[in-house]
Amino acid sequence: MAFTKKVTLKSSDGELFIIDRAVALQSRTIQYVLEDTNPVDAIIPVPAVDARTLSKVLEYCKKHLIDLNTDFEDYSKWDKDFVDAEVWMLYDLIMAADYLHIPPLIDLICDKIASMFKGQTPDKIREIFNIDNDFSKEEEEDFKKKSGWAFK
Amino acid sequence: MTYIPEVIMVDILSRLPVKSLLRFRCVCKAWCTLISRPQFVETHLHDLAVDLELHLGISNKRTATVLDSCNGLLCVIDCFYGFYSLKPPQKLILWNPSTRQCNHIPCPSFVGYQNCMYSFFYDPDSDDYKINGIDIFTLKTNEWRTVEETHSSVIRYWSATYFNGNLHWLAFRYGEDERSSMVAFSIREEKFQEMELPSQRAVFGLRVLGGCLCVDGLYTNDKWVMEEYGIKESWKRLMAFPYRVGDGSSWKLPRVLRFLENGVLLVLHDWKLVLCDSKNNTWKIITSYCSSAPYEREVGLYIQTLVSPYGSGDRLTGNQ
Repeated sequence: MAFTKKVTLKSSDGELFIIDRAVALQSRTIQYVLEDTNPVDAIIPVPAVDARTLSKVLEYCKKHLIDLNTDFEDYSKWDKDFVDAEVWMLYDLIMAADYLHIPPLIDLICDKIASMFKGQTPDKIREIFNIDNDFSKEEEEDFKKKSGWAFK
Repeated sequence: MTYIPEVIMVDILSRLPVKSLLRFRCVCKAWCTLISRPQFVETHLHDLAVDLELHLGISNKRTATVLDSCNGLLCVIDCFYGFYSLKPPQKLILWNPSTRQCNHIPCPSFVGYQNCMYSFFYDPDSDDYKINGIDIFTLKTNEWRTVEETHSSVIRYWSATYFNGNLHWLAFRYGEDERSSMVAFSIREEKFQEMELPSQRAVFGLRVLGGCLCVDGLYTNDKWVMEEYGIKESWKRLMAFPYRVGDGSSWKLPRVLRFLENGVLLVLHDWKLVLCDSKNNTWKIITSYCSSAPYEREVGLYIQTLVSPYGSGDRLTGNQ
């Protein structure tokens, strides 16, 4: 049976994306589905990712199809612009990249988030991730006393 | 709380410098547990890039000497150490400059005189950090033990090189068959053995490069690597050294610190760090450092880590 050249993905909110098989293969999750079932003209559901996020992920996958005419610096410039986004968008993207299993995209976003974290205070981190502070005032003071230099 | 899979959180946090991590331990208890966990300390250790310049921050009136470094822990003594050492040190310190933790270790008798030898290294067999001289110090038990010396060659350089479960020193064999040799000490069996060097000529700078033991010729520009560990015949001369010296200071020997990717070497020469591309025969100076001392200072590789100088990961909030 011949491999189909096109693959159709269906986002969690029901939108259909018809893309080249080569683009879809950058996701290991989809690669496994294709290898297992090899569906002809079938629709592959992507229940964990909504249309807005999926289109962004596919934009990345298209760009990163190996193209010998693009040099390395073009890629890094493009990648930098790609992750220049709001925190919630990066969050959606990394969850999608994790679900679809696209290691270079996970790597790119982790790098971006880490660079946003670097100079932040614990308060700011809690705010970004909506985390409750479960330390008492005394415990928090204790941290500052013992490694105060890290808070300056 | 916004849900993030732990494996991704670890991936993000392991890219951060130690200073940020120390701060983020107080974000919440879950983060604190994650960052303090030995597996995380190890992941972080493997992920961080190598920082080349080492600035010793010890505010000590006495001179401090870094004996050795391993996985971001420095083994420091509080005196000048080497061929001119006159008085023995009082302190031996394991120091992680990133977390600012110090572990003061009782000084053994052998440290402090020129003919002693030492090495500070991580022993993967016992998952422990050890300091080795004629005696062995293990971080897990915090104790020294004595080892019997059974080799006939005389060890000539005081720093040892750890590789493949053994410590190695350059040595000299006296008698009829006089020549340079190498003494190896097996950590697991605690036994000495002697190994052959590539040539009878003087060599120096024993170290591990690109997963092999490597030495430099003392009066030549040779670089030798032992391709198969322990096999004398596998000593192989490396390609011609590409770095040309044009400023009249050619008596100073360039020393290769690291093999980087694609045939690029990181070289120390004449107080400069130089990147040499052995394929294209080009080089570039990264940085110079000046030294007021008459002898060339050692430059070591140092990385930022959370590894604890106390031998366990749970004392991150220990002595500062």
